[in-house]
Amino acid sequence: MNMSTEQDIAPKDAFNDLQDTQKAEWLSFKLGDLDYAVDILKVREIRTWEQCTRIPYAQDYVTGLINLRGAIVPIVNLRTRLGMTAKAHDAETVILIMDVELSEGHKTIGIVVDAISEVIETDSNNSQFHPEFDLSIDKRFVAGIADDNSNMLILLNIDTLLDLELSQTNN
Amino acid sequence: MSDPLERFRAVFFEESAEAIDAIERNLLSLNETEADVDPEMIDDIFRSAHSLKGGSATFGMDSLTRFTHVMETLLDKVRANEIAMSQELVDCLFSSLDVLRNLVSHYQYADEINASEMQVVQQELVRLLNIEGDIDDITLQADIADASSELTETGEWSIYFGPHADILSSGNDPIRYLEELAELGELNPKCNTQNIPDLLELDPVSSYFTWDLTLTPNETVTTETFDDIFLWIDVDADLKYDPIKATQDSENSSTEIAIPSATENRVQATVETTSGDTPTEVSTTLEPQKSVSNVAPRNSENGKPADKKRTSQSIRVDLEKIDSLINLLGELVITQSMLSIYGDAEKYPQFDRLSEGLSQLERHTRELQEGVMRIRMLPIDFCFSRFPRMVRDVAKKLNKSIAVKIIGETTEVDKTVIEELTDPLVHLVRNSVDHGIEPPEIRQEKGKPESGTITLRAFHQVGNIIIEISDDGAGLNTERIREKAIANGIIPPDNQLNDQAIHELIFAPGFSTAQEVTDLSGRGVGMDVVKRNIRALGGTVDVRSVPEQGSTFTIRLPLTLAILDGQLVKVNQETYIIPMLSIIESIQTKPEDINKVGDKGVSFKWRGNFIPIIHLAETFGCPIGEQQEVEQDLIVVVESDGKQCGIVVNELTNHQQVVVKSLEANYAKVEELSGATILGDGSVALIIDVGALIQRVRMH
Repeated sequence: MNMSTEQDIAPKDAFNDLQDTQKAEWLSFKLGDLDYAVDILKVREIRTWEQCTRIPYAQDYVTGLINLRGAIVPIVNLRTRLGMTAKAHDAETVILIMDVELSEGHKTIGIVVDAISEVIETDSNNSQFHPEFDLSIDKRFVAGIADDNSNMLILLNIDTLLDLELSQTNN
Repeated sequence: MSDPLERFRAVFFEESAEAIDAIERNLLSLNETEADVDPEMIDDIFRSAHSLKGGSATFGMDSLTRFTHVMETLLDKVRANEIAMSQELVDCLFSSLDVLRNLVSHYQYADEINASEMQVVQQELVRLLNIEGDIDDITLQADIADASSELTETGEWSIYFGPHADILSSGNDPIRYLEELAELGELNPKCNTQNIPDLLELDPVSSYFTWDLTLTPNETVTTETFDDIFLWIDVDADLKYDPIKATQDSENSSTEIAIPSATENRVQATVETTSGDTPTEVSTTLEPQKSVSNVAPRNSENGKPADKKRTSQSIRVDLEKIDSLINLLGELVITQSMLSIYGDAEKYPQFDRLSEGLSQLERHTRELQEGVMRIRMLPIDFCFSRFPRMVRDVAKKLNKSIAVKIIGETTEVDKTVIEELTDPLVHLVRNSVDHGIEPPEIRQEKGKPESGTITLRAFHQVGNIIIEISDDGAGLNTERIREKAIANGIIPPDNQLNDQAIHELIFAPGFSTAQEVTDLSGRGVGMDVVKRNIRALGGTVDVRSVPEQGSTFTIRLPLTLAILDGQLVKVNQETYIIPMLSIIESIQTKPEDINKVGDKGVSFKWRGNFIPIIHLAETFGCPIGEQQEVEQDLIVVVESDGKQCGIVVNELTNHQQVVVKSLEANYAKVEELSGATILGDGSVALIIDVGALIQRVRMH
C-alpha cells in the first residue's frame, strides 16, 4: 500500500552542493492546474487514498481521520485548504503523511493531493524565495517558487499551512 | 553502572524507604491505640530501625548509623518495658522519621543534612532514654557527640555472649565473633554447655552455647568496639560487656545493649564450665556452620527469618515496560477483532475449525488483557496511606484533634489513576481538616466528641471506583456560600437555587469560602481545580452535606484509562462508540412517543419522567445515507452526573472492548468526543463523551 518515496528521487548532483547552501529537495504534486511542492524531509510516507472517518464540528478542509498503524492521523484536503473546489478521489489521488512542527508541537498530519509528480532540487539558480506576485493563496503558506523546466512550481510552507484552527468551529 | 556496589546501594535506598514507611505506619497505629501498646508493633519498629542501621553501616553512612543506633537503643528499652510508650515519645519518634528521611536523601541525592534538626531530635531521644534508663546516659551522650574514643578502658573486660538458639539459621556463626574478639587481645573463653540437651533431643541446627569471656585487650577498647563487633547479631544474641577493673570515672563504665529483661535471669542461672570440658560432639555441631559464615553479614542485613515471611513475593518493574505491553496488547485486541469477522460460521462455513480457534483466541486475549491490566493495578492504599500523617500534622497546627479512618484501602485502581488522584484528594482532605472539622471547644459545645473523624472510603461499583471523603464536621455553610457566590457574581442575587445546587457552587471557578487565607487551604486554587482534574480522568465529583453532621465528597472514576467497554452505534453511515458505563438502557420507540417542537423531537417519557433527546445525526452533522426514514428509532438512554438523556441512533452493533486513543496527539480536542479507537476492520471510530453531550443539551 505504501509507495516508496525512493524511486522518485532524482539523482543528486554532488558538485553543486559546494556552491549552494540554499539547496533543497522538494516533492512536487499536482493540485488542479498548478504544480506545488513540499519539503521532502517533512514527508514521512505516501499512501494511496483510503476512506477516512469524518470528525464532527471539523473545518471543511479536514477530511477525517485514518488509522496509521495504530496512530490516529487527521487528513487535510489541500484543495479545500487552498480555496479550490474539492474533487472526487480517483486512482491518482494520494495522501502524503507529513511530519510537521506546529505551535502545539510535533504532529503527524496527512494531506490529500491530486497526484504526485517528482522530486525537484532547488537552489538559487532555479528558485525565488520571495515571490512578489499574487498566487491567490495566503503569502504565509508560500515558501517560494521554483522553475521546473519552465513550469512554475509553488513551494509550500507546510508548517504554517497546517497550523491553523484544525479543531471545531464552535457552533 | 560502573560501580558494582551502586546496585546494592540502590537496593538499600529502596529498602530504607520501605523501612521508614513501615515505622511510620506502625507509629500511626500506636498513636490510635495508645492505651494498650501492642508489643508486636514495637518489635516491628525496632526491626525496621535495626535493618536501617545495619544497611547504613555496610555502606559507611556514618551519620545514619549513629542516629538509628540511638533510636534503636531507645526502642529496645521500650520493647523491654523499661520505658513506657508516651505521647512525647511517639512525637519524638515522628520527628526522628523526618531526620531519617533527610539523612537517607543526603546519602542518596547528596541533599544537605539538616544538622540542627538532627541535633535537636537526637538530644530529645537521649533525654527520653534517660528518663528511666539510669545506667547509660553518659555513654550514649558521648556516643551522640561522636566522641568515639572518649571512653577509655584499658583494663580487662568481662563479656557475656549468649547467642539465641536460632542464631545458626540466620547464617551467623558465633565462633566468628569469638575469633574477632580474640583479635583484640588475649581472650579467655569459658563455654557454658549446660543447655545442651540429650543427644536424641538435640537439634543439629540450634545453638546451645553461651560464653563468658575475659578479654585482656592489647589496645584501648571501648564499648563501641564491642558494638561494632556485635553489630550484626545484637538482636540475635544476649550480650553484656563490662570492664572488670573500674576506672576512676566509674559512671562511664557500664553499658548494656540490647538485653531483653529475661536475659538477666539466664545469666544468673548459668553454670560455668571451662572450654576444656566442652564435649567433642559440640565442635562437630558447629563445623558445618562454618561454610555459611561468610555470608553472615548480608543475611542479617536483609532481615531475620521473621522479616522474610512478612515481605510478599514481588518484583519491581519499570512502568514503561508495562505500558509497552499494554500498547502491544491493544494492537492484539484490534487484530483479534479484525480476524473475528471470519469467525462467522454462517458466512464462512468452510472455516469451521477457524471459528473454533478464534473464539478460543478471543477468550485468551480477554484473559491476557485482564491480566496485564491487573499488573498496573495498585491498592488505593498507596494514595491513602499518606493521609493519616498529613492530617495529624495539619490538625496539630490548627489545634484540632482529628482521627483518620480508612476503609477499603485494598481496593485496586490503575496506577495512573492513583497518581492523578493524589493531588485532588490531598486538597479535599485538607479542606475537610481546615474548614470541615470544628475546633475541639466548639465541638464540645455542640455535644460532639471532641475529636473529629475524617473517613476515607474506597470501593468498586460496576467498573468504577468510588472514593468518599467524609468528615463529621459542621457541614457546608449554605448561607455563606450563597452570599459569596452572589458577591462574586457567580449567581444572580434573586436566585432560586436549592441547597444542593448551592453546595455545588463550591466547584465553580474562583470560589473559596475561607474567611482568611491560610497556608493550608483557601488559596483560591480551589475546588474547581479538583473538579477539573477529576473530569480530566473521566470521573465526576459531587458533594453531599448535612448541617452539623458533616459533608461527604464522592469521587467516581473509571478503573482504567486505557481500555473502555464500548457499545458501537450506527448513525446514518457512521459508527460511534458510547461507553457502556454511561448507558442505562436502549429502547425502541415509535415516532409518536417523541414529543416534538415543530419538526424536531425534543423529549420523550422515560420511566415516568421527560428526558431530553439528542439526534446524534443532526448534532454531529452526519451525512444522510441512501436508505433513510426508518420508522423506528433506537434511543440509547445515557446518564452522567445524575442527568439522563436519550441519544437517537439508527442501529446498535457490537459491544466490545476498545483501546482509547487520544485525538489530541495529532489533531485537537473535539467537544463531546473523548477520544478515538481503531475498529476490527482497521477504520477509526470516535468515542462519545456522554457528560459533555448532556451538558450541551442543557445549555441549549
